[in-house]
Amino acid sequence: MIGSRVIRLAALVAAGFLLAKTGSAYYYYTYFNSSASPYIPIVARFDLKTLTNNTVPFFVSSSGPSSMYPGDSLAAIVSQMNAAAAVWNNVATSSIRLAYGGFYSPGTTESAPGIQIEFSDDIPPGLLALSIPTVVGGFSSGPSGTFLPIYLSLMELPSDMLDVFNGPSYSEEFFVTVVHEFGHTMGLQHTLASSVMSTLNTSASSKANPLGADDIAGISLLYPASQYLTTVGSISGTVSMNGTGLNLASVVAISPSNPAVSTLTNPDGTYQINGIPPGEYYVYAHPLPPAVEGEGGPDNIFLPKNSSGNYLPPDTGFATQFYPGTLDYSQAQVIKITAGELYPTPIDFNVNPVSAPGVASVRTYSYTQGTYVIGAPILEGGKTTIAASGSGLLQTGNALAPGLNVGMLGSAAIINNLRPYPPPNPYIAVDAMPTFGASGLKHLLFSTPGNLYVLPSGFTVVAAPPPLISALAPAVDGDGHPAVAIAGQQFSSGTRIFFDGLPAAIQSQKGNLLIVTPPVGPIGYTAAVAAFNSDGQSSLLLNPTARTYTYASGGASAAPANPSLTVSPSIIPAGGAITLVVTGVNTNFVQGLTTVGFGTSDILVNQISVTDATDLTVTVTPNVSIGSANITIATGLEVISQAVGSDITATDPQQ
Amino acid sequence: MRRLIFLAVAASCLTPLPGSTLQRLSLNDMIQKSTLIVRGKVQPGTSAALRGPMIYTHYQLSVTTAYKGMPGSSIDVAVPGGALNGIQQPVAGAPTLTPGQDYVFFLWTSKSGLTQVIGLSQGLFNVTTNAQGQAMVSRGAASAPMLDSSGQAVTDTDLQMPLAQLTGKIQSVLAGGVGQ
Repeated sequence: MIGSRVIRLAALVAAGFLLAKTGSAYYYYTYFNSSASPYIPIVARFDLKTLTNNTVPFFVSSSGPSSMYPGDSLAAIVSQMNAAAAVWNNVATSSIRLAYGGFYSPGTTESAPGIQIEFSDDIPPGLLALSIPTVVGGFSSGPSGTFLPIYLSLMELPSDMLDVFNGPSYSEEFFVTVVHEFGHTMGLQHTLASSVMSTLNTSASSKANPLGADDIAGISLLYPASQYLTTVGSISGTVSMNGTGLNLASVVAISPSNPAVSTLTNPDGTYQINGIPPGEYYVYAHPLPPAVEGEGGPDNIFLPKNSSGNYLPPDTGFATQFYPGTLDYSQAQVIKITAGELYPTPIDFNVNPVSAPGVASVRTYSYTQGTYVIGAPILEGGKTTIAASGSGLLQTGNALAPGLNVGMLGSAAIINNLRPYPPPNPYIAVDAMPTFGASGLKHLLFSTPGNLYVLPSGFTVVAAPPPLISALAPAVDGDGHPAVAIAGQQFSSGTRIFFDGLPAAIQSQKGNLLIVTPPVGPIGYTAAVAAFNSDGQSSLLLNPTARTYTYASGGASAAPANPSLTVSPSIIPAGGAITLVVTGVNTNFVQGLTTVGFGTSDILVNQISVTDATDLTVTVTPNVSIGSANITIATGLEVISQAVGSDITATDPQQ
Repeated sequence: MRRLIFLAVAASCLTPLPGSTLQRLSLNDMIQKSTLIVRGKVQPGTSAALRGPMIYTHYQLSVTTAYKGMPGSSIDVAVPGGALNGIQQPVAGAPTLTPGQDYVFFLWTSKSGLTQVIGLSQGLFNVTTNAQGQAMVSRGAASAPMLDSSGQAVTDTDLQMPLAQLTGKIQSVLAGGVGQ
């Protein structure tokens, strides 16, 4: 088997140069198989053919964090990781899926694709997380072209979560970070569309609405679901300056009513934006922003490499430009995108040089009820302050940069009263007055003489304030079953309630009173409860400390405490598939809800059959010999893990 | 045994592609969170070692001045990424240290004893001498630029300043002041 795999990889390296298609670099981890034009991008991604059900298992280090916020737990963290994975799994136009595969012991090696999540003592201050998708060998080929298969991805989170994160695992910050890092593990790089794959400098993502259109296009193009490409359109062209194509210029399709979808140019300036939903767009090109503190380069993008192994740095010394050749979007050409088609005319840019970088890396906040809120939600029909921080907005002494003006794409709001904050606050502020009926993401424009900075999703117009949870209490649902009553404000028909990272089932709603069935949790377990509205706002925006609910005996969805397992046989023998019989004490197994994992991609879980609350069988296939493994069984917020046997071996099918 | 062989073969052609989430640190943050702040020069030669699944490149610093902590005359500083046994791990945002270059390092030692530059590149300042013979410090990576009254980019004063000003700020913060 080993020999055959090595031979296969070698063959694919050779084949890769023959089979590659022309396409866009987009914002993936990108390689070129030449050192001159035409450049043919090859990107890194998981090989779906090597996965079961297109699913990448992720494993969480059994060591857990060394310190957590009071009330936090490894089970709560795992539930948030499951929720973060579900964000990507819910992209219907992408075919890749993530699934929790249990706890692993640090040092475990894998021979099948997977993701390991480790809590590391070695992450220095100033770094929230680090992800390393690792590619193996040479190129491979698939229906969408040649690629570099990702073999194993590592996500490193700080062991000392108490010191590094600004809140517990249910916080907006932790959740958005894990969603972002999962994107890296699957092959996505940073983008400049204010989406979850943007750096924290410009991200407008929230826990209630983490993904932007650019994220959805990015993952869907990397792992396209059937027919996806027939539902979206494309734009292609070249970005050049004085006749020379520019590398890693960002090209963005955007409109007042559509969020941004972007790509980066190839080394010869060519580009193709794919994954654009049908509609009318403007298109603009802009440079990558200067590196900010801690970044090794613009936007901390891992630079593409050519066939000589050289990194290809970005060209950044130019001014932003809308097509065709204007700083004024109102003079820009409207490009109509049709599903399944490439816009017939090349959208080419001939940009102008600038001697100094302009406005860049802006992040906005709305000032609402005495709190600065990321994503800048503002109420329609009112006047709200938007604060902005970023490069080039201020000169020394906190005076406004000369000639700075702030406006927006479209006319959904009046933007005025631009002013600097007094020193030492490095912010500017404007007032935004959106009209009624203007809900949705809006894009800000920061203009300076001869240049322009566009901030996609610079603020969000909302019809109502964020939801608020004011009280929780035991209750019964309409069938007389134990439930939880949740009282609050601004609940809507689309309000979702989460207990840690798992959704509750809403049984009834009367205005701002919800009756819900929580996910299963062990007696004594305390879950953070938060409400999320479809407009991207959550109860955590204004109240970062969540209300809590403690599972009590006889209460809703309460499972017995101190569960344990007996697994038979206790040693997984050599050979093919085997069925393990699991008998639980104080467990609460539920068919379709209970998951089983072994902390390694080398034991494939084929089928789980729950007999009753304390009995289940699981059929597994070990891929290779394994010294030992843990079995992890999760039902709702109850996570049980213990060692299972040793000397897990299987017959090598190549023998 | 076959598994071990497979892993060895696989490892020979591994290329990690890192991404990260950075948290911007102020100078005061760095002063407070660093376990060591030193001025020193990087010695020629590096070594690489695997730490779990990650490669770190190790540099030896010759310490000339300590501003925080009590280091020896030499410090082993690890930078994430590097090359080992054919495995390449280039980490975007990791600092590149030049032998012989004079630096001020804001260092952080993990519980397990690994000493790194704080915040990837955030805690690394070059030391140079200006035309007036004054020692100056500046951060290698570009910072958020600000504009002067004529619209020209200027450097954030936190990121380029006389060495004496930086050391004064370090002393002030460590003494409990605000370090302005």
